[in-house]
Amino acid sequence: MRPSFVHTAESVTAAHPDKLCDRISDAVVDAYLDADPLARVSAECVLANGIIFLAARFASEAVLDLGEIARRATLDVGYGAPELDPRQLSVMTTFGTLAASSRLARLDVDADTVPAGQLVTAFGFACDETRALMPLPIWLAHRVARALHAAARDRRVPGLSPDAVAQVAIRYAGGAPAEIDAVAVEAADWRGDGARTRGFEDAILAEVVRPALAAAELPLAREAALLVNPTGPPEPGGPFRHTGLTGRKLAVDTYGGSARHAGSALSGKDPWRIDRSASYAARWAAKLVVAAGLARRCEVQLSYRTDRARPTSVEVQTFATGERDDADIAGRLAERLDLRPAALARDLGLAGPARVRFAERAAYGQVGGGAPVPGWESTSAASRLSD
Amino acid sequence: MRRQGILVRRLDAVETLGEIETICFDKTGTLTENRMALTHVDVGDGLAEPCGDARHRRLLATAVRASEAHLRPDAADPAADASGTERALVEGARAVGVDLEQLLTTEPRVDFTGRSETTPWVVSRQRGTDGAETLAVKGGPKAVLGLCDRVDDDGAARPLDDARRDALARANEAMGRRGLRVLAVARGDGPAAVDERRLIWLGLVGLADPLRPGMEATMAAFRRAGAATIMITGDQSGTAYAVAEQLDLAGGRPVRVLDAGDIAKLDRETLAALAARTDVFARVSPSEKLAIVQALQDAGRVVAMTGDGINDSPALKAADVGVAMGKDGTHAARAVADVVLESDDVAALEDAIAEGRAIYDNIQRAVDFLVATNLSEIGVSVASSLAGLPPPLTPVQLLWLNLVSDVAPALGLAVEPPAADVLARPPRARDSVLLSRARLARRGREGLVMTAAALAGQLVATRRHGATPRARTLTLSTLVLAQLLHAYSARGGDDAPLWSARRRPNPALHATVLGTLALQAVLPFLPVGRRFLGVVRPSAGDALVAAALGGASLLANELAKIRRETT
Repeated sequence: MRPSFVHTAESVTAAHPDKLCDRISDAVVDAYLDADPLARVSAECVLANGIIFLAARFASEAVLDLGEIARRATLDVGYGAPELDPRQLSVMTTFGTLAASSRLARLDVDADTVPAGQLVTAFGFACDETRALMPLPIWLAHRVARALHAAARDRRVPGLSPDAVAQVAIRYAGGAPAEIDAVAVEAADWRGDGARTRGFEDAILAEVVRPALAAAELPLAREAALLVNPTGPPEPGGPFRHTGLTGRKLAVDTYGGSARHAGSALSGKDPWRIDRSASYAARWAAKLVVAAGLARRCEVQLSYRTDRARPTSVEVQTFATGERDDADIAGRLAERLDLRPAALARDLGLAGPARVRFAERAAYGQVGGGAPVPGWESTSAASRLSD
Repeated sequence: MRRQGILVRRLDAVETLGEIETICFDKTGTLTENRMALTHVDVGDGLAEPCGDARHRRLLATAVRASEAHLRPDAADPAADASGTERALVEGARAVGVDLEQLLTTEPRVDFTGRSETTPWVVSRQRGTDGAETLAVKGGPKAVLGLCDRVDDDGAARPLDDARRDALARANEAMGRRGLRVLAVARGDGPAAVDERRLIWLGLVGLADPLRPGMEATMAAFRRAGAATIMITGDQSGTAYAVAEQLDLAGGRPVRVLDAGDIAKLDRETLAALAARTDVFARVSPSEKLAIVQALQDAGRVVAMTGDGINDSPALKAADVGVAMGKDGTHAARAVADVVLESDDVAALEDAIAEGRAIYDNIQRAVDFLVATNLSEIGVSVASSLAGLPPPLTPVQLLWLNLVSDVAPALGLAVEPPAADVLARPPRARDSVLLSRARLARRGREGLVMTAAALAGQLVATRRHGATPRARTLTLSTLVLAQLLHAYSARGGDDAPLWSARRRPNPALHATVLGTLALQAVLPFLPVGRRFLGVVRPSAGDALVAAALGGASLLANELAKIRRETT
């Protein structure tokens, strides 16, 4: 029996500058794929002082207005006058080209002919702490962050900036979440100091934090701390106040630190980039294992080699919760799931006409999200893993 | 420069031209031809350049049928009285082999309906050879698509389903993003096809203001000359990038495009930092050009800016060199510009920059020459008086040296043609001075070498002739010769001996040097010359000594350049 411990996970709203950068990068990928389904593209974004630095490298004939895409994304995450008028944002774009030969000839290629193109190890995780089969701390942090964002958009809390951070600390006992130990929210009041009153923090607590926590169906610790702006209110201003960078919120994108994740950014990469698709694939595989009842916690590790289509290794760790031994489960995954890059792009809905909109999944976890359920969160293939 | 079509309105602008580090080009009218041309068509299989393809011809023939122009097929410009768009279409159709005359005679037009506010399309009704009436429709793609129920597929009409409609709408957007003016073309069987929305979609035509020919090479030439090329345009960033790629504006490295949204709202320091790293300013309104020029200047650049509109005037005025287009430019732009390009061809700026740099180079040469030769004269006088020798030269002789053998070659140096590499080196730093400490030291050394030659001449002369006019003649001849030959040293510059650099001929320099030499040689043989200069007829031996010492002085100064080159 494991002793009691506390795990903290953090989530940020879609308007947090780091997440906005992810969204802009993914909006660029989406736009290229819309205009040219076979386009290769990689986009990176930095946001500082209200200036968006956008580096896009692509192999495509498509001509896109990246400045407009970036401003659109800024508008979409809830910024607007008077706090931040997206039309005022300057966009410095560096356009580069990728080798035209990196393009695929067509979508329905023989998956064996598309090698991984990169040396990559990716991790995926699933556990039965929540219905989404995600670790509870990050799942709950996302709920609070979403609620903060929704409250800012609907103007339910006057002055609440859409750029906010939510942290959730969960006490585990006996290997399972037992109680909510602490919650901290950092949210700016864009009305500035003049209009700010203590009521701002109280409203956030009452309107946003408490209702969001109810979803966890977990008791608050007897001495639980529910904190809003514990170190004083941050300055408002989103991208004018602090910087953003694509791929800096990988723990938010994945498991909130409850499990391993690869170091490379997910956002801004096209479906043919194995460092992106393998992370989704590993989550897919891990979730299938838990959904099929083969384990209650499962981490899947996929390794790819530059010149091969099939993963060079499929590793499974079930933390002593497995119904079968780990090697047996790993063997089933390797045999029964098609993990080649082109197959992933197709089967997980990353490419093709019915593909996911990456930009819409940039915030609140690139894994674990639903509505509509993306390919890598679908458990319809779980039956393949049963005997 | 007048003959290259460059009108310089402020004289010192020529010199500034040589320092230009950044040239901002206004895309429309400067880099482009400022007229519409048919550049793209889309007949359902993607964007293409118009060619002799039967589908392209059918598309363009129908577009011409639906032309608002009053066509005169036999004229050189068959649509002379029409708008730029109409002319471009007619020209484009003719270029792919559409026979305008046949078009008009076989199916004469019966009726024509122009566009209105609610109907953004034109309809031409014509009667075919079989008497049946057909329609040719041209207009805004979205509106025309709404009138179509079928799509032309190599002459046959296929039903237009939703997927097809989406594809056509996307094709229209793709063309629009390229910055093209897009029109849709459709045909109809029977006079009521428009009202019944039963048109057959033929395709899209895209028109643009094409780049002037040779612009890519011109941009490369500016970059080679160390001047960064920047494009300023109202286009959105993607379109601007496509144009920059075509121009190879960034010389192969990734193109950086700044879409500043609202430049006026950016703080000045930030904009300066960004501007220094920008290849293209996209979505810029004319009034924002001033801020861009100032930002580049804040970043420490010497900026030239081209423009033609009234709105460009503030930016042209603020730029270190404002360049107005002469032919199409407005009076306001011309009035504030420093340089007017009469031919509207920015390639002429290359010549202007070369000229500006050459002028500075020549001032440098003349100053180098004058300083060194004058120092040599001072050296001769001071050295001989310090050594207690009798004055080596008379006051008249010194005057003669100053007025003739110094000045004439300097004039020759001032008209030296631009060096072959004048556009292959970076611009001179703005804070560079004509006579730096290092340069002055070199001039001093060169002067000393010439002094030494003259003193050696004096030594030889006093040995041979005592302190006589004959001796002074030899001293004077040596110094004059050394100075005249030094003109060639000054011409070659400080960096390499004169025999290593190939230079364009400068007949003026040869003429002034030879002329002075001839004068110097002839004067002793004329009574008036002898009386005036106080010289005597030199012996052959004296002449030889003078020539040898003068040559040695040149050789010594040139050898010093080699030593500097190797150390």
